[in-house]
Amino acid sequence: MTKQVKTFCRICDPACPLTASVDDSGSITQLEPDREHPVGGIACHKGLSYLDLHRDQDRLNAPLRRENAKGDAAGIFEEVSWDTATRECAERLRAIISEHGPNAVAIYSGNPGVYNARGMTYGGAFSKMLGTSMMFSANTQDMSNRMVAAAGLYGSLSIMTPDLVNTDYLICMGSNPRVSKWTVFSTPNDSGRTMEAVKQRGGKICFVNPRVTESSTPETGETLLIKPGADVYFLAAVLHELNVTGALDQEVIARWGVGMEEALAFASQYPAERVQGVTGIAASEIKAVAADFRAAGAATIYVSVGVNQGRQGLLAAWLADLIVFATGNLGKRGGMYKPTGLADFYPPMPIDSISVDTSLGELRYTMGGPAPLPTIALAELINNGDIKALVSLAGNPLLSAAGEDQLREAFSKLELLIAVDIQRNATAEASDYVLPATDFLERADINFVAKGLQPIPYVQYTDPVVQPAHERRDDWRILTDIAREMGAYQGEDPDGWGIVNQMLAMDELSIDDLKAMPHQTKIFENTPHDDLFKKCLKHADGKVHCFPPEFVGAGIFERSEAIFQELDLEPDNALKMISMRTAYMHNSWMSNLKKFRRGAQSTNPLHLNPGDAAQREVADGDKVRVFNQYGSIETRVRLDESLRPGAVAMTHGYGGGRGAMRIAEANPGANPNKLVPNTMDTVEPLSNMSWIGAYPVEVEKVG
Amino acid sequence: MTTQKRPALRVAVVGAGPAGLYAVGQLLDQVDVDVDVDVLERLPTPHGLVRAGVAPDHPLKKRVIDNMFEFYLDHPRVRFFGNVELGDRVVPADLALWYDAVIYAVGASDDRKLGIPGEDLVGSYAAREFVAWYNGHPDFSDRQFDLSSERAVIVGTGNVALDVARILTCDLEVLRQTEIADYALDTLSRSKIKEVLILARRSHMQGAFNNPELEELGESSTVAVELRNATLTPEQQCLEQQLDWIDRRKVATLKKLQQRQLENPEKRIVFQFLTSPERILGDERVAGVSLQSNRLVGDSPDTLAIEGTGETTEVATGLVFRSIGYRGNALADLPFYDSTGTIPNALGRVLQHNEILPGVYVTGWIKRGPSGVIGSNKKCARETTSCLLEDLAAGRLKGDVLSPVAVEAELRQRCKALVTQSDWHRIDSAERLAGTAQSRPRVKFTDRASLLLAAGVPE
Amino acid sequence: MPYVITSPCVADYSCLEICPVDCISPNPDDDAFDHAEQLYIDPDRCIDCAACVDACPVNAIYKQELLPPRWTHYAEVNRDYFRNAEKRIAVVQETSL
Repeated sequence: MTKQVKTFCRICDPACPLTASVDDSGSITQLEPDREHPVGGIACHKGLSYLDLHRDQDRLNAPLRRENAKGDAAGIFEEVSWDTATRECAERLRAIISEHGPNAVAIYSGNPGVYNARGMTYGGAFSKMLGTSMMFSANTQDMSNRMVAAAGLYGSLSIMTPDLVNTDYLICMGSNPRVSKWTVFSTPNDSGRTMEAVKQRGGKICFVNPRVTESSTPETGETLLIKPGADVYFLAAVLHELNVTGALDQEVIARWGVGMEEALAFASQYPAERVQGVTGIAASEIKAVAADFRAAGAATIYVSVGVNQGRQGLLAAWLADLIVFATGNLGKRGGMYKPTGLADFYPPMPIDSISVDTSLGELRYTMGGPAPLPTIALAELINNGDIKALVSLAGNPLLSAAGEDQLREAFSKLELLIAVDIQRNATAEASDYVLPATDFLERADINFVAKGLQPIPYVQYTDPVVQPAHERRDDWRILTDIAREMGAYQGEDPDGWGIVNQMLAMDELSIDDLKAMPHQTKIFENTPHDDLFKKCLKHADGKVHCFPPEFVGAGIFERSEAIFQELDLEPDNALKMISMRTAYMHNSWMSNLKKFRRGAQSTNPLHLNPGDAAQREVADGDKVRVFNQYGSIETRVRLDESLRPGAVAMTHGYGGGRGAMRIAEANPGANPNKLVPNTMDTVEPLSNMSWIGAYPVEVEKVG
Repeated sequence: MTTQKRPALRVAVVGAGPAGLYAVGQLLDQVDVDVDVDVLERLPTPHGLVRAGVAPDHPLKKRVIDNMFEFYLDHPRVRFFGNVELGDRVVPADLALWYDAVIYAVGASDDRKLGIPGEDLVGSYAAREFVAWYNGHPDFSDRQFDLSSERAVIVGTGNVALDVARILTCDLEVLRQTEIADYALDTLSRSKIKEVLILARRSHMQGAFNNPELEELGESSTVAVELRNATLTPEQQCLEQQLDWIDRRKVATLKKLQQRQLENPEKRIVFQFLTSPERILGDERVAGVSLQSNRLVGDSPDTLAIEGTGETTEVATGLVFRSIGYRGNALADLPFYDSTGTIPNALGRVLQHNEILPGVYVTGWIKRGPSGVIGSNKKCARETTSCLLEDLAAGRLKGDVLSPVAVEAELRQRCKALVTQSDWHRIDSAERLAGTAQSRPRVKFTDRASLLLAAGVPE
Repeated sequence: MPYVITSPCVADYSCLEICPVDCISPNPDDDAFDHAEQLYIDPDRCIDCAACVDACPVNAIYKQELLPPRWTHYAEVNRDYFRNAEKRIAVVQETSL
């Protein structure tokens, strides 16, 4: 008898509902979209292929202890018992803390941890147990600036959500939702139908990207091909144009805003005529966008990872919200709002409130999890002896952060490197202890991270679809066991739901309540769009800070003008690297699935516009060196007409050094993160974001 | 946790066409065993009939090279050795010594003959030769095809026949944007051919072409399509309805093609069904074809047969292409079935006197005969490589091999002008760059000397 | 709308291998594959995930509404194949590239 288990996907923000079939032996035989789920959506092939990852022969099954020198590229590991691994990790962490203080232990949280409610809550709790402020995460590679922009504008972690279902006009920047399924916005995969519906009801989407993506089709909307890294100036010009054409909602601004004059003064530095060279978009086109925005009944803006990574994501995110607010579209149907959902409560979030004294001086950041220390600083802090131990939670900074080579060298100097993961990835391969975690089909969970980002707000619970195989354990338990062994944790939380339960209790819910509901799903009733003015504005004055003084203090406006002048002087044939999502790579998670590593997907080619290729006498398929002052990689060229001239693209998550993941290692692909600027002066102030997209590269033919 | 891995399995794949390269892909897919593959190819260039067979106006089909095959050849476990002709300096016995296993994927380099008088007259060719010629195959680039006749006759209705018919009637402006050989463009620009007559021995319900290729004839606004002998007797009318889905679609398309109304078509393609060539006429050169009419017998699609009516006619032409199938050639001292043109095998394991030859395998057309589409070779290769891996697991491979370095040294010593993958990339890059300048995918080098020059390999 | 396989298809079944809902036919394990002109997507089971698009080595797969004009009829061809799936497929013996 096959049993059907309702669960949901946990590889990206949409959390698509799934149905798993489990046979009598307790094995999962099939993973399908849960087509009956009340919120709808159809899971994509990446999520459904997670079953292959669940079954992967190369998964971690038992705690491993390194037997050879950490500098050796390939680890030689011995299986040890959980008792031994826990005890030894605890002893060594305790020794490091007692000799060097708690900040000598750093924690790096990878992206998968975000989709693991108990793992995430206990990841944060673990740092408190240890007493360390040395927190790092993948967020400074992809979106910490969104958090800081919200904190600056609203005083709380209120990343607003575009009301796509009702909008008449959407500017969609730095995003390819058709492939990446939206980020920091959570709706079960709709295969692009929400976007198509905008056009069908007479609205319009304007994509702004250096590439015509899979999302931009005759059914959705056209693309303005912007130069990489120029998003801020485009948005500033749109705001300025809206201002000079009298399109701003003065009443709303007066009622809820402070500092709008200064913000508009900043925008006025970038009229459409001035920015057309730097953005590559004609002034008339920029003005047409402003006119469309003004003419629309309700208009909104969605910016995502492509913008976040471009050196000024903080200002871009700030401008996007500011345009929406200044035109009266914030808190409006079809504009931007903060959907309700689980624990609909937004505490104040002061920017740069946490300080860490280091050999690099005082480093500051905004909060434990969301916008931590710059990953860029990690290698130097290890080299300087600030950090003696690193705990990597579902992370793979070696491949996903900037400067693989520098990080690899730094990691070899650590006294202790612990990796908690489901596979022996490149970072695990370099570790002293590798602790095997459960995958999402082996653990109970709720779709916790989606809260406040869902057009249809709901919370779903799932049991483990199957019991964990081998010695695998849930992340929360691995961490609390170590902390307990260290004497740093005395709590009683047998199932790990403690922190989640507190949140559920705010809505008078419990795990048991959810278990009893169809699809274990509770749908919340929507609240008025304008309730954000009550629930999200947490500055002392209760206003939207249009020109956040913290931004001024950090000098980011002057920095922006300096960058503008730098871009203005760039030669016409300069190349900038952007990151490109494909259907075959999901950060570095899906690297060991054979069906995702075949033919063209087995490597990581450089996508290059044919004109740029011709200028360099490079032909399709040629082997090229891609390089800049930070590094050099070799790969093959794919001519790609979807790119604007000057933009080149690769996919992140590729790279070698993970011998235990045999398929990934046989098809490593080039790692573009070796080219990412990796010095502290390239980090965006306040958000601590790496400049991981739109950085300069050169391309030359080899051989 | 450390496991003792066996040393990488060393496999030679002979032939760098789709059959061989799909075998490489299957071997690269293996997780439990590392496989090193050397691909040996008699031409300086890989990709076999995708490069030299697929019609130049089918650029998407050729994308399989960029999207798949080149990634196999580029893989660090794979080496390409082009310009290695098996037979004289390197023989199968050498490969058997050098490698754990050898997969022959040498394709079918000959064709089936009509077996009628006049077949060897000047002006009577295999479609295969014409296809290789317009695709710039270095062994065929010095051929001359006289296109001064107003009519060309093609015997056979497979996709190759349709390719030839299409190229002979194609708008030159279309062909100029393709990778067709420059000399072929030149010859075609002087062509006088107005009509391509396709002779089908069987009925219009039994065309060997595939639907996409047939439908494509309808995309031309300058080439009319005419059907002859495509009407059924009242008793046979119901047959069309009884055909399976694929054949029904073909019949429907044929009718649609005939009903098209073109204003002043410049050329036409005529399908003459139920007609067999009986003799090719002419003294030294082809002057015409003598045809025999057939009639259709049978009352269900399964039992349809044809029989000659005894009625004969003649048609004037200076050019006849036979297109009734490719045929494999015997290879050095390997066993060979002359009747099928294949190497005898069981699921890809080569048989000699009904005994399995250990470590010797076949895949592709030399294994199963010339049938199927490009991807058929993937399934075929899967079967062969499964046998190979089974034999490995069962300890049936000898495991005593020459090192990769030693193999390369042997090859370099025995073969002049060895072309490696990076040498091939130089050819590829030069062809593409030349193409960019003319807004074409590539401009091909069509003789060995210029191929080797572009490769940077001294002859 | 579903995805559609068009005429350049060479029956390299990479699409079928990556399809998460098994909606592409014929499978190479079936005899029907040996006589297939191309592969087909079942529009009633396709979930629009687009995984097959770039897996296809000859770029033969399109979203239905984005089909090039010369191949719009392939939406019907794909659908029709499944309507006729139970029917026998004739052996096509001649050479075809």
